[in-house]
Amino acid sequence: MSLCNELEELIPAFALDAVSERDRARIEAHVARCPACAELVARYRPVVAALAYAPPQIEPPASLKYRVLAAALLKAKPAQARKSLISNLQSQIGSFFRAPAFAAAMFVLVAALGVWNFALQNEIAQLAASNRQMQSDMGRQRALVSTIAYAETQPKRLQATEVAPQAIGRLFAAPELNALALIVYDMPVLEPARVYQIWLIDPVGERTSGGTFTVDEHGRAWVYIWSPKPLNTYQGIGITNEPEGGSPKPTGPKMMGTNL
Amino acid sequence: MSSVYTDEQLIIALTRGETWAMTALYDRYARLVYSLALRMLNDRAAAEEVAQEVFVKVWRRAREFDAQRGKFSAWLTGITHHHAIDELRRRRARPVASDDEDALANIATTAPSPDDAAQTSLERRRILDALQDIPVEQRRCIEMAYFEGYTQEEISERLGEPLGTVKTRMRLGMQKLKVLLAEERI
Repeated sequence: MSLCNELEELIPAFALDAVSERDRARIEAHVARCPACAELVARYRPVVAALAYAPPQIEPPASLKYRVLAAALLKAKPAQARKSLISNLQSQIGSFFRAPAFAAAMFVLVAALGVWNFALQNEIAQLAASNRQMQSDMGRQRALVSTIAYAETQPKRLQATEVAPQAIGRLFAAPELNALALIVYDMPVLEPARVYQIWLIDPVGERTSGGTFTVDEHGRAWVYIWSPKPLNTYQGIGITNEPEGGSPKPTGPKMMGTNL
Repeated sequence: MSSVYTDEQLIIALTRGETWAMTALYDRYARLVYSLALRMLNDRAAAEEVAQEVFVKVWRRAREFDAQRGKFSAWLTGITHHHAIDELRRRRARPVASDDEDALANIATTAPSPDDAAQTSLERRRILDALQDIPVEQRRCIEMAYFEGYTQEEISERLGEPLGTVKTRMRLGMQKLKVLLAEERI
């Protein structure tokens, strides 16, 4: 029996995650270099996915929704990790040196280490956050530059509404990339917990979110907009003022807009 | 209102940090995720915990979803299954009491209640019909693997059947399910 034939018999169980560790390792190694067996594994994935629908459908408690949303939106709490680290360190040192003199000296040492550790952890967390932000900003800037470079026509001028009569907006459309680049100036500075949201408008007036953005103290922003459908699906865009996190449909005042 | 958005559009909105999309995805899939976790863990508190972990993971890792590799619902139930299996295996290593002894029902032999039937999705009817069409021994092996997280060796031990028999039942059952589900789509 060839290896393909032998493993083929195990693939249904592999898809169910019901094979032994040894067989799993063999199948994974084989599938990585055998397109036919990889295809067979792929054909069992919908079967496994369908099994998830079999249990009786039971409504979760209403409180779960709020816990899920709160947990999802909660920022990481490095302070908890720091506390745990320090308390572990304290308990380990304490178990080795229980004499009063050691205890006093250790207390000072642990306190000093704790302060030092706290400062270092804080610095690392800030650097990591700053690094992530820089990478994200660079990615956005590259996408923006590409969109402007691929734009097929002159930028469109956005019409400001009476809510923001001084605002200026320019829109670059790159159908080839399914993307738009939006540059705005002199938009009203946002109140806390508010954002501007972009809407892609189709011929029947249906609004699809194109993302949210904030402006700096001068009301400026450069925004990359990826269109979920081909750009020619839409005939215009609008910008409204919405709660932080955006809205499924426009709820706030329209600030600017233009035809595409 | 959010039902006008496809899963893929909601995922794109998630990657932009738009929280309304998280609410929309939760409303669409919370029952599926919670019901699967509850079926596997037989413990409401643990099922809530798993559902919470799953949606937080979706929020934080929305960028990892690849529509080319399959539907969002398959990705979501895969994450749910993985989390629930981890929890099941942790419990076997250190057993804990379950608070829902009456909640465990054999999925293929339980008739849905009228309310449940009214809300039953097309997907659910498809898989229940398919499961009813395979021999009960094959179905039991598949259920023990998928919902209870047992390997073929463990199923063999628990059922007191030879390992080769369990392997054959599982293979034949899955092959039949694959054919039945494919026929349903035609």
